[in-house]
Amino acid sequence: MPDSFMNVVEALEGLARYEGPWKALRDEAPLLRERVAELREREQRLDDVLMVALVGGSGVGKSTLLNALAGDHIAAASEDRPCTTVPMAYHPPGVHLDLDGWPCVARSALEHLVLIDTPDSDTIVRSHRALVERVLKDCDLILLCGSPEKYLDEATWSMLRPLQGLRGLVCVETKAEGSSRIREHWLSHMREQGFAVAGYFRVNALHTLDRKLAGSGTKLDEFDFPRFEAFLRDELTRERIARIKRSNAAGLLGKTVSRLSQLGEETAPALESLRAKLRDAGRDVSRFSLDQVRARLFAAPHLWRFALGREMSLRTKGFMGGVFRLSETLRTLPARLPALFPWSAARGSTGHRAASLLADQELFGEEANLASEAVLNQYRALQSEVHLALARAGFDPPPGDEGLKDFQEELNQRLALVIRGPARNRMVRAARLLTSWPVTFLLDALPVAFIAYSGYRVVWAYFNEPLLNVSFFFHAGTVLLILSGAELFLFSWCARIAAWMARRGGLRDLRVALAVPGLGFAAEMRTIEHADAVIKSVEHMNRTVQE
Amino acid sequence: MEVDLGQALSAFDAALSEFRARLAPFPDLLDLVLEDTDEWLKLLKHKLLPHLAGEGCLVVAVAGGTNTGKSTVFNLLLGADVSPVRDTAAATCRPVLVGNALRAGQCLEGKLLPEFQPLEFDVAEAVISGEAPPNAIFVAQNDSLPDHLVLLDIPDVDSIEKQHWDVAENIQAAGDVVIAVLTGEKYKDERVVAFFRRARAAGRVVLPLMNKANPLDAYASARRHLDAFCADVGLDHPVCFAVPHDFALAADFGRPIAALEGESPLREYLESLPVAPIKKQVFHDTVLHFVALSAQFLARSREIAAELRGIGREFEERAEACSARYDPEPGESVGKLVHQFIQSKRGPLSRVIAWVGGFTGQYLSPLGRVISSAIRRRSTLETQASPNEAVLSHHRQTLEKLTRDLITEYLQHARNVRQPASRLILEGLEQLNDEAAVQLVADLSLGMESISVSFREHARHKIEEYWEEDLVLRRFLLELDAILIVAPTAVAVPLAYFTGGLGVPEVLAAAGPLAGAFFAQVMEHQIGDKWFDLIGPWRRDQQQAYCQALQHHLTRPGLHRLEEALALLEGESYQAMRSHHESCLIAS
Repeated sequence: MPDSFMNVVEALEGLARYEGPWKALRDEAPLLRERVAELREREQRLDDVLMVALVGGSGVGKSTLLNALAGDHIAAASEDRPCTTVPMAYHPPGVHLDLDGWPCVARSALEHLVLIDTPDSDTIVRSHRALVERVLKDCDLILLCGSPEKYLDEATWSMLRPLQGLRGLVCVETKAEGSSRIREHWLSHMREQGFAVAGYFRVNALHTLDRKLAGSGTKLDEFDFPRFEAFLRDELTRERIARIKRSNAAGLLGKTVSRLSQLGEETAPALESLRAKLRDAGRDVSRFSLDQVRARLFAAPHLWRFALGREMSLRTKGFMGGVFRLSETLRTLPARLPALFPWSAARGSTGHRAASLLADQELFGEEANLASEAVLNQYRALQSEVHLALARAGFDPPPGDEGLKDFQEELNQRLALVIRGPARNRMVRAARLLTSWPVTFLLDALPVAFIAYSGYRVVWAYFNEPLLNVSFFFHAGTVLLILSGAELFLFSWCARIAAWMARRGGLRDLRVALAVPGLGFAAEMRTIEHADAVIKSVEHMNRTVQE
Repeated sequence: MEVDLGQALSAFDAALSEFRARLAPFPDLLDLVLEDTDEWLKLLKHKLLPHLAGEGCLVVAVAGGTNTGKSTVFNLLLGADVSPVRDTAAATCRPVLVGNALRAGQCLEGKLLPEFQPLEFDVAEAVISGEAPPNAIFVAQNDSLPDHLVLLDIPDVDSIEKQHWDVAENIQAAGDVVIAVLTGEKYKDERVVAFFRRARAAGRVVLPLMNKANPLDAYASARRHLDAFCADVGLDHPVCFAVPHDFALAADFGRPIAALEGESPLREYLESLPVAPIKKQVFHDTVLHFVALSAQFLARSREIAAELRGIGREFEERAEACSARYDPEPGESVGKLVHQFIQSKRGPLSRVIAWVGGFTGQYLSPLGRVISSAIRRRSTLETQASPNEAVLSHHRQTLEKLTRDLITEYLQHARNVRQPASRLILEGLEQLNDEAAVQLVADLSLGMESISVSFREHARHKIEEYWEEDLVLRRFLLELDAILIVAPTAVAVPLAYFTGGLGVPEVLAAAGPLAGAFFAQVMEHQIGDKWFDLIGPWRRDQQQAYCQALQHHLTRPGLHRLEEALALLEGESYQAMRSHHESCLIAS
């Protein structure tokens, strides 16, 4: 067998094991398994002998024909119906067959041929039909026997129809007398029903058997028998046998593949619309995830101010830095309080988780879960839509909970990556800028100068009478308070603006990160991709087989 | 008796054709219901009803497998070359009827076999060509036949031309006596034996005839074969006939067909048969057979209907299970409602004290509100959607998801149930507009207002019910409320009086009622949440509303094809058939 052929069989074997969500293909799998097993078996037996089955209605003379070929009474023939009850094999010596204990006669002079006499295909003994079907399944060539009275019976034809194109077929008209009156009629019906007949022989097996037993030469009343014998003996050479077997296997393969390719053609449009649907759904997922993040998680600037304040508190220097740190501690106290109370509802909310990521600190020491229930619910709704579309197209939808978990993980991962990465970097950059030495000098210059001047006045007054009175300290304190208050206000506003800019930048990063496809519906996409791959491979097989 | 039976039979036939006509839009189902009904339908159509038309003469049909020589035997029987004989199989395509002038005339007028279309037999080729309509019958005249005998040559019953089978079965149903033409090769074929077994069961007189028999051993093998055939078909020692294979049949039609036992040839035997008793017997047996078979049909129809109903029920159960998965949250606390309700039922003293507390609280509350909102805003690092809207959209999404999942489940289940239910349900689901149905179901189950409004209505109604019914609870709650409201004031007022001093009595006098109102609110919230099981029933109501919406707008439209089929299957015409069948049973 050519390699391409075996490749197709191997690909079919893969499909036969299919247990995925494509219902139609799954339904096809048992038949496919059967066919593949048969193809494998046929491939192994390619160099083996040719199995020839003698098939026909009761009493057409199958056993007599076998006897005539053997020249001896090896199979029982009688005029009572049905006569043969088990198949019988007639083969050359040295051939080993596994035939369920059916009788074998190993005396045949016909090399490479195993002739199997079958029971009838049409009497009320129904078990005979099963036996015939068994033989037909294994055989390579059918010798269809028909007498002038019995060649158009539905019982026999109904067994042959499923094997159309899968077995070689030779018609043998038995009990021939005078000129043939059925040949044309029979052959025309064969053609009509789509059978390709490889040969037509008229024989009178009884005459031949008598002659062979008597040991005399060929007579005229044997009709085509000598030609028939020659056909079996000489024409069925090894090459011819191999050709018959190959053509049988190719027929079976073609039938199998064309069935699959039909299935693929039926499903392809549905698959295309499913793909479009999934694409839309993927876009929707990105959109509503971003909406949720923008409208809920990152909507108010205080999350960013909280994080930026923290970053700045870690880096501030100088007098104003200290004041800022103190005010920041007081300002963020309510937000940090939940961390202290285990029963607090705000503890572990997505906002707090985001803040801990943004500020790179372990606020709660929990797994980072940023997908809020609202996003998940929206995903569930969209998922049900996609699953409905899948079911409409004939696929079993994948389990919803797992898909949801995958989506949650993916979303968390992407959000965390952005928050920990670019968003946090912006934050740190802004914090560094606001707490850099020049800014610190600039801020501290006025209050420190004022404090220094006040100190100088106090010391000067101490050495040069009189001492400063209380109102000086009161006024100096007030001026310092106003000065530092104004600077703190200015500084906080700068921080606020920096936080706002960082938020804008962070949202841009998020938009990019969420727009990358593959946020949700990974399992669904895999289902479709797999089905698509199957269809493509089937198309490929079909082309190969047709070539 | 016969008049009753006749009426019942024709009424049954009318009901049956109505039944079939109504089920015509469901071809799968019709095929399933009418599976294995061919036999008695043909009996009814070709034997029982025509018999009632009143014609009485013995119809003898020559039947058998293909190529057994039916036409040859027919011609021998007639003593003339009428039916065309060919070597090839399945030659005779349409039946040929031969009777004397009277009978042939009657047949041509359509009186004898009213279900067939009579054609004058002129060219033999017409019988073979198969161009005539399937219900055609060729009528030839042969005056040698007596009045009470007509002969029928019929097509084969086992060749690959399946149309022949139908024609043979139809005409066989019309006959009274069937001559089984057998050969040494074809006496045990399944289809042949089954054909004659059916004919026998339907009350026909079956006469086996061995064609192409070997006369050399005094028909020993023919006898053996005939015995085997009689055993297979269930014939009780009938008169058997044989035609030897060495006849020059094509030329010599004058030779009689001899019986194996006795002298009388087939033709004489047929002529001597008592017409009336045989006809009566055949008719009687036919009626019995028909009644038994059609009873099976009726039972089978009912079984199919029950199965379809069971499948429909399965789908409804799935909808119920789906609605049980819906678990709505009211978005509002029961305690608040209970507190509000008790507030409206307070006695005068506690009302006055609570009013003082409320009055005080009115001045304090703006300050508290500002502080608490500031803390809340700073403590949550994420913006919350407005609760009411969030609850509503959450429920809507949940409902839509559940409904879509149910449709998905329906589709998958429909592919797994048996045919034809599967196809019927899939057809129904095919016509369903998914999104429209989902939205409609969500609209209907959520109602027009928001979840919390509907919950508040429901809770108020329920609390009132409790209040009216449970007097003990009512007293307990009122007393508890009174104690909570009055007690702090009762402690604070004397304390203020005895301590004296600037500001202290006023502060304490205001603090007492304030504390009372606060305690009452906290306690009643707690009690309301713990004791009043309001969410459960409300949830059940919501689930029920959802379930109803599902059944109305999803299950029923999805199963409408199934329901239609079921209504027809169990409808008037079925009931009519049943009642007419019963009267047939009684009459027979």
